[in-house]
Amino acid sequence: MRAGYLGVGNMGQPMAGKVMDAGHELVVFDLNEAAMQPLLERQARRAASPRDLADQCETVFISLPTLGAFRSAVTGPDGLIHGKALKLLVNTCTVGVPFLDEMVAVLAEHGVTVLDCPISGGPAGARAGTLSVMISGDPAARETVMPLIAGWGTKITVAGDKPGAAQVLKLTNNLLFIISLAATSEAFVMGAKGGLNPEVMVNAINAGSGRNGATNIVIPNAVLDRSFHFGATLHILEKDIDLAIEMGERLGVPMWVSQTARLMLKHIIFTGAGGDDISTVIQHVERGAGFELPKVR
Amino acid sequence: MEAGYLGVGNMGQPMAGRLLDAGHSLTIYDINEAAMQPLLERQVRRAASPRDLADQCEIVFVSLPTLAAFRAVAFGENGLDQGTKMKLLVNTCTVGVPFVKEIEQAMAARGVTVVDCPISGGPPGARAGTLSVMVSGDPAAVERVRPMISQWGRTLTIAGDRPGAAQVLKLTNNILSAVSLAATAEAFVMGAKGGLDPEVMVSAVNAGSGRNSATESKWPLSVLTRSFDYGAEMHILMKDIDLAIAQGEELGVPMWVCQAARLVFKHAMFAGAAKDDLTSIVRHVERGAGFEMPKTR
Repeated sequence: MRAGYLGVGNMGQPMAGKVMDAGHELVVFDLNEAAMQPLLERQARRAASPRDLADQCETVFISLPTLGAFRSAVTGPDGLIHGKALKLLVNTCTVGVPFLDEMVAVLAEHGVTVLDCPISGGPAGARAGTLSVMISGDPAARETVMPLIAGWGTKITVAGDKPGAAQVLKLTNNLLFIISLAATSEAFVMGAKGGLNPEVMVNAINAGSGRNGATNIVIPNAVLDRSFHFGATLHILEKDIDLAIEMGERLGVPMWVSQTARLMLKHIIFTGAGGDDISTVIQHVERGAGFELPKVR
Repeated sequence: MEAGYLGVGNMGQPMAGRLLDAGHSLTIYDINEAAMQPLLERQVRRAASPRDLADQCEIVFVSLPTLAAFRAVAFGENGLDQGTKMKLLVNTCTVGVPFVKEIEQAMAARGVTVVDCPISGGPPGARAGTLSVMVSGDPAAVERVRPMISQWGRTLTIAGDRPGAAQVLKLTNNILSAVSLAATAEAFVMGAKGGLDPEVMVSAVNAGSGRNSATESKWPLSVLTRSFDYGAEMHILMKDIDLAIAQGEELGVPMWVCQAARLVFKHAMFAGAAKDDLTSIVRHVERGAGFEMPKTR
């Protein structure tokens, strides 16, 4: 099959790569020339604009980091809605239900169906093909894209028959991840300042009830070696937790712990850390504690 | 080997059972007659008091739910400290560093060595022999009890060579477990009120970055079933949270998210939930949201 891929950054590039690995033909577009390079070297073709992409491809994937970038790629002067071939837009971004509903309505006017397909697992999971893929939307459209996305992960969860359900699922997941990251940063600084070796903590906690996404992946890969290169920036988390809290408030759910994690993250970002790696959250706790975890790897 | 076991409740009973399974012989004591019954049917001997236990056994394990109960059996009337034979006291309880130091000093005056050996994994983990065992203390004493304590789980972590280090490790683990439980309650009520099937959520989150011990173990066993029977009461968790926060404040570590989780459980306790299963925290979030998750198992 041939498909278009709009946005081949940290996440989009390895995900587009998996689509090519499965033998599909890809046309790509990204504002950042360098991001496209590795795919162009693998015989992907490039489009001149989102519109050009939608002129050439019936199915287009979209992986963009912000709602603003998404909106202009769809409705801007050279946006997807002006393309003639596009029939199916597969959204892999975490954008929340209201925004997705807005895009679904706009695209429906141009005869384009939206499939909601956010993913979880970060750049490392995207490269390894071990993402958790969540999908919701028209069942026939789901069947169409299944062969294209099969290489993304071993686990594909159908969240519902309407776009948006997969967003709710993704936000539930990401909210839990962010809280785990914040709480793990606090608890590891406490334990280390209390005299424990961080390596010992990781081993025991991952075998115990304290285990979570941060102790499993972030601490071992980006904190114990003090590399702070997990591969996603705090801005992305900020967007996800804002969307999750907005949804929780709209639904009317008391979320004390979630709201606190959001505040903690906000205050970190106010210091100018938005572009930093998500694993640097622990450095802010360290600063507050006047103590640094040792480099143990 | 021969040993005494003091406190054979929700945790102590299966842990004592694992020692029997491995061929060790036990003398036990509990103020609750019924708690001892299953073990007495397996040919263990019973002691008449903590003192009697310490008169008969060189090694005594203690598994008690509160600091007050621990202090009473250690130093009260007919307490362990009056026994003539005890040389080694193995503490499996989460009691915090100051309390362990207090016990260590008082016991040292009577020639008794304390090994600190808190465990993680709850009653299901104790029954299955899959606890995470954390140990700290005199290396020779630790080696002496290793054949016994290694029966409890696959992971045995040596936290340090003084009693107390294992407490810090355990509190680090348990505060993360408590935060995950509170946050999972919030996030799942949000997702379910937003229209998702809790089964779909568990399946996707456990394959994604939101996974934690609540989503992996407590939800499948006790929340999706609406049985709320994980097997530990909320006041036990509250004790661990209070100890962890006290530890963090003593060390001077900013713990926004952990403090918020503490408040969630405190308010549930104020509403009378002390004796309820810890998984029932989800019902307090549900009450606040005016929404109940469906029973899916």
